[in-house]
Parts: sequence; C-alpha cells; structure tokens
Amino acid sequence: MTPDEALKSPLTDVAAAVRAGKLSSADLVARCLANIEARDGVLKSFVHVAEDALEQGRRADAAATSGIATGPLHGIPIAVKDNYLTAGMPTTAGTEAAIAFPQEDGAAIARLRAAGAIFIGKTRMHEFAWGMETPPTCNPYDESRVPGGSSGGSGAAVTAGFCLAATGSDTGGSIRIPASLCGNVGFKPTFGRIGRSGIVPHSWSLDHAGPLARNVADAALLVDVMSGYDPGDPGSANEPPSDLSQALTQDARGLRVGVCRNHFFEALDPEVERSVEAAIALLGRLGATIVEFEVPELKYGLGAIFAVELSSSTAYHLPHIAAGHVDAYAEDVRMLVEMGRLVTGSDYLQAERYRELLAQRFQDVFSRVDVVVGPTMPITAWEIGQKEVVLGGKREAVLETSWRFTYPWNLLGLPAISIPCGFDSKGLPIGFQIAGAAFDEANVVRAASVVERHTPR
Amino acid sequence: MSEDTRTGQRKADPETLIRTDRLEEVRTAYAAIARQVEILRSLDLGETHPAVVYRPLRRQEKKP
Repeated sequence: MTPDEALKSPLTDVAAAVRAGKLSSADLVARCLANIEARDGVLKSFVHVAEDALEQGRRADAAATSGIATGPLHGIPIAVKDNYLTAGMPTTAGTEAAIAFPQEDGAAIARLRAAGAIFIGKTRMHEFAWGMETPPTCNPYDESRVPGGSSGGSGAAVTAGFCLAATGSDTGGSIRIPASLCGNVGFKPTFGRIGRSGIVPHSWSLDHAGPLARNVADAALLVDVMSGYDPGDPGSANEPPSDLSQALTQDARGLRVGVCRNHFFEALDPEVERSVEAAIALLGRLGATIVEFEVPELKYGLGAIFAVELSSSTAYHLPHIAAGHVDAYAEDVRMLVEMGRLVTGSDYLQAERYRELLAQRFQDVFSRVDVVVGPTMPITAWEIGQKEVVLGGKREAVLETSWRFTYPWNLLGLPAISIPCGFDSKGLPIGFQIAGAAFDEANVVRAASVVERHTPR
Repeated sequence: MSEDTRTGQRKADPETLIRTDRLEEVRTAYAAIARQVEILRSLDLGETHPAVVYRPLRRQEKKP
C-alpha cells in the first residue's frame, strides 16, 4: 500500500498494512506533512505540528518489524483538537490569553495513544469552543468560506489529507457542523460514552468528545477506541468500550427511521432539503420504515441551550473574568463569556427541568423508532465575514442558523452523526444527521453506513 | 472610561462583574438571547425535577 492509497483506505486496512510491513508509517506521516506544507499556509487548520511526528512513525515501523504492534490504529496519523491536553504538545484551547494548560494526556488521548495512533499535531478551534467559524481557518472546498466550528481545524485537516482522522468536541454541534461543511463524517456519541478528562471544559453537561473522519467505518472505530469509563470525568458512563464494527455491514431492512417534521425541517435551504429528502427516500427504498412525528416542545430548546451553555461557560471562566484575562479573548467569545453573567439561576434551572421533559419526549419517540434523521444544518458553508442568511423569506444571523438542528442532541445527550449526502450547486457538501437512543450508537452507525454505501462521493 | 485610580484596573459592575464600560453593550447583545430565555420561562414544567441531581459521597468514596 502506498501513502496515497492509504489516504483513501479505511483505517483498519491502513493499520493492518503498517503492522504487516506493507506500508511504512513514517512514509505515511511524511505524506501528510508534505500535504500540510503544501496547503496549510492557506487553510490554517493546524496551530501546532508535532516536531517528532516522523520519529513517531519510525517507532511505529520498528514496532511492526519486531512484531509488537497490535493496536487498531498502529501507525495512523491523527490530528488533535487544541482543547485536548496532550503530553509532548502544547494546548491553547484556541486562546491567546496567558492561561497555562498542562502537557499531559487525558483519557481519550491516552486510549488513542495506546491503540498506536501517531499525533501529528494540534488543530485550530474557535476560541474555548465558543463559535461556529474557527477563524482564520478556511474551508477546503472553497477557501473563501468557513470550515465551521468549533472543531473547524479538524474538519479542514481531515478533508485536506493532512491526517487520516482527527478528534473534536461538541457542545452544540461543534463536531457535526465542521463535518457537514467540510464534507466528512463527524460523530458525537452518547453523553458519557467517551471520557472528557483532559479536555478543556466549555459546558460540563453539554460537552461531548468524538472523532471527525473520512468515512463512517473510521468514525465508528475511533469511537470504539476512545470510549470506556473514565474515572477522571464525573459525567463518564460506567460502560465498556463500544464495539460498532458489526453495525457497519447491516442493511436497512426493518430499520425504523424517524423524521421529526417540526423544528428539524424549518427554514431550510432548498438544495439542502432536496438532498436530505433523497437520503430519506433512499432508506425507504432499501427497506427501512419511515415514521414521521413532531415534538412541539422543541420550540423551547434555544432558550434552554443558551441558558445552560452561557452560564456554565461563564462559571468556568469566572476566575479569568476576575483576573482580567478576558481582555485577551476575541471579541465574540468575550461577549458570550460576559453575557453568561446575565443568565439567572432560576433560568438555568428552568433549562435543566426542560431537558428532563425533552428527554422523556424523546424516550417515547425512541420506543417507536431506531434512529431520527434530518439535515445536519439548514445551509452549506457560508462566506467568511457573512453575518446573515435569508431562509424561507426570513433573515437570520448565520450563527443562529448554523446550530439549529444540532443543539437538541446536546441538550438530550443522545448519539448523533453527520455524514455527507450530496453537494449543492456551488459544489459545497451537504450533511445528513442521524441520531439514536442513549447508548445505541450501533443503529446510528448502521443507518449511516447504509446511506454512505449508496451515496456517490 | 471608568478606572480604579488605586489599582489602574477598569471598574467592574459589582452585580455582574462585567466591566462598567462594556455593560451596556453586553446587555444589548444579550437581548436576543433573553427573548429565547423568556419563551423557555413561559413553559409550565409542573413538578419536573431538573436534570441536575446532587448525590452525597459515601465514606472513602473518591471523586475525580
């Protein structure tokens, strides 16, 4: 296998080739570094490239030669979002403020390292995971457009071939949004599935860790590797690591596919709507049962996620506000961090009570369906600097538009994936979102894999 | 610009801790979010308990 072939092959095949001595990990790393050198001056997806990346590759090759390489990610170059603490690489969480973060691995990074991953560098993120644009990173499909955020560097890096996969974090859509806009797969498993120790917090009860990858199988494998109980994360579920490999080959026959017609299909770009409806029809043709429903209580969700996210983020940043560190934050992030001081305690608790109600509504939904599908976002990648969009005759701030369909799954803590389902007339990728019941990532992967197998890329 | 002449630091509003010279701008920006929170507030949640639950620690139990 050549490095160029590896960039197009599933991770299981690439790692097997490295372990068998049929592909040099060092050569693969060198290919990724050459891609970074050639294009990241424009895309700006990395904030740090590991000085020892090639050496990590050589060590992986030596381990393969001596027969001690067994990890499922052996020799695979993976990029790390810059809010994951890492031994041997600095962390900034996207800020220029003078805040020192320790250089040590958290649970998910330790699991990736133990699986044989090579950490090629740290990817740019919207400061403190508070935003959907990740400046100054550009979209690989159109460099005049945003890659999404907050894991925008990871989204751009995966699509541009700078790495074979990347880590992300998702508080209101920050894995799925860049995956949708950059045309790759972003997977946020159930809250608690992947431990978050060693990830700079944004909003404790909404933050999820997960991968961005080139295909569904790679994303599923990374969730398998990163998942498992993390005693360092109070939100961690006492569940064994997932095993999603069998879901990748199942078909759609008998799958109950829910389509929530309110909220998730409102004020939608017509080209996005056409692609998403085509994917739903495809699932129906392949044997799935389509079940349409509505959840009227979703109309209270935006106030709820704002109340929880703002107040939680501000509670985390309170010492930085007091110390004046916020003077060094970007203006948009500083504004959000300060606005959290205006959310009252009773509003916060109203939001947490609402989450309980919404959880009951969707528990009922998931007694009738296996997955819920729809668009990841109402739009495709917008131009850098664009502030508003007109959808359904209504003018809306593009940042409000961007997370409308993703944040409900953070309030609910349920697994959700974004996969490509087509392109608009500008050649920009469109994302299809599939969500599942708590800890039922298998049905999410099953549906995603079916759509992927039948969708030309 | 309001500034504490003793420390040289800009003054903060004591209730919100937001710098006084930024407070109005922050309140204006928050208005759109406040409307959404107001909609949430209009929902009668009856006896629904919040998703936040405190659990006491047992003797010897370790927390991260």
